[in-house]
Formats: sequence, C-alpha cells, structure tokens
Amino acid sequence: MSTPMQAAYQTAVDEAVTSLFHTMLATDVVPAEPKDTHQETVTALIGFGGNWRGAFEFECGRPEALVFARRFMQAEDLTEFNEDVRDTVGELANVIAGNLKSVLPSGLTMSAPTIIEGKDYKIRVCGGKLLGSATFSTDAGCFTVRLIEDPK
Amino acid sequence: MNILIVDDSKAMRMIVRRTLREAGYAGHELKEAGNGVGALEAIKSESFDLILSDWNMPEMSGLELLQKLKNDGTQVKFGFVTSESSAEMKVKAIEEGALFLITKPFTAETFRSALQPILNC
Repeated sequence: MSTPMQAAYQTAVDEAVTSLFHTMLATDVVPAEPKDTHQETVTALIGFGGNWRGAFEFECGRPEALVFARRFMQAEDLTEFNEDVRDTVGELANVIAGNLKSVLPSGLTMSAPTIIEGKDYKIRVCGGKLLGSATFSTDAGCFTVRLIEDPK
Repeated sequence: MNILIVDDSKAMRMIVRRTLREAGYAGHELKEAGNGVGALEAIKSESFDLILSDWNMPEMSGLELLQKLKNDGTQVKFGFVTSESSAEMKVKAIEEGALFLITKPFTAETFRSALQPILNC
C-alpha cells in the first residue's frame, strides 16, 4: 500500500514527465514495465537537502539519451554522445525534480545534476528508501525515474 | 533591446533563445552567462534591459544574483526561468524584485505572456 506522499509523488512525476516530454521534446510518453537491458546507461542524479533529504534519478540508455538531446536541442546534427547529451540528461532530471518540489516538504534545496555513465552499475543512497519508481516508454526507447528518501 | 540569459545548462540557454524567437522576440540582442558570477561580469561591460535567469546554479544562484543587483543599485528588469515551482519560491522571487517566474517546461506562449507586459512589445 502506498503512503499519501508516495501517491502524490506518483501523480506529480507522471504529470512532470508527460508535460516535459510533450512540451520540450515533442515526444509522447506512456507508462511501461521496467526492463533490465544491460546496455550502456546514463543516469542523472539530483540531491535534495534541507527539510527533506533524498535523491531523484533519471536513467536511460545512451542511444535514448542521444535522441532525447537531439530533440531537446533541435539539433539534427547531434550524432555523438558528448557534453551536450550529458547536459540534456542533467537538465531533464533537473526539470522533473524541480517540478516534484511541489509535493515534497517545503524548505528544500536541490543540487546540480551529477551524471553517471557505464554498464551494469547500481546507484545506492546509503540508508535510502525508494519512495517511487516509474518507467516510461517513448518512440525513442524507455527511461526510468526514481525518488529516494534518506530518512537519516 | 539587450537580453541576458543566465543558466548553467548550455542546452537550456539554447532552448530559451529558441523560445524567445518563437515568442516573437527574434530581433533582440541575446547574450548568455553560465551562472550569477558570469552574469555580473557581463553586466560590468554592457547594460541589459532584461535578465532571464535560472534559480539553481553553481557559484552564484539566480536569487543571489538578483539580491546582488538590488544591493548594488543596478536597475534592470529581472525574471526567473526555473524548474522549481514551489509557492514559497514564487513569493520569494517577487519579494526580491523579480517581475515574473516562468516554470520549466515552458512554451513560447508562456514567454509571451510573461514578457509582453514588461517589454511592451
């Protein structure tokens, strides 16, 4: 059973993701089942501090990130995974996490995005509790977002 | 009209430029800075009619930039373009002298609605 905060988070993340992808990438998103693809992955991590501590993750494959960046920047000539792609993934995470602040306790600060890349890695926030995880499908592939609370 | 776009994301600065064009402000001079410190340097060398700033940036945030400009007596129209949309931030932004707060994601219409009353065009 989900807590009121988890339910509010789920609604807020659905709205934030749908709005962001529709408005700024002209891309439709639909909820999907998580996949363990073992492909080269990129994750943007945003930390929350202040009155509530935790982290928000946006994770997708490198090929998907490249397409998202191409659409976000309207840069058809963007064909290589570079700093612009990392910047875009970080900004996608930043926009969604910023929108989520409305359902998190007031008095929060947000960190700049940290970008992690690799294959078969897992990110753990020590002592962290997964509040919500959602995978979305697009015509360019899937991505997953997670909100983790650090109760310490 | 000289407009300074302040955001630590190059991709977002590019999107703000594009959205300004789509909103009908293509004829204006657009400059960029990567954070509040970069914005202050740009303001030293030329004057701007409007600053469009992100809130959360390394080294100097958008709010710190706005407060610094106010303390220095710099007269410039200032608006936030930020992903953070809490009610307390909107109140804080207006209290500190910002004219508007545009929340990401945004459209050209969002920009037009925010800018038309203050740029009179």
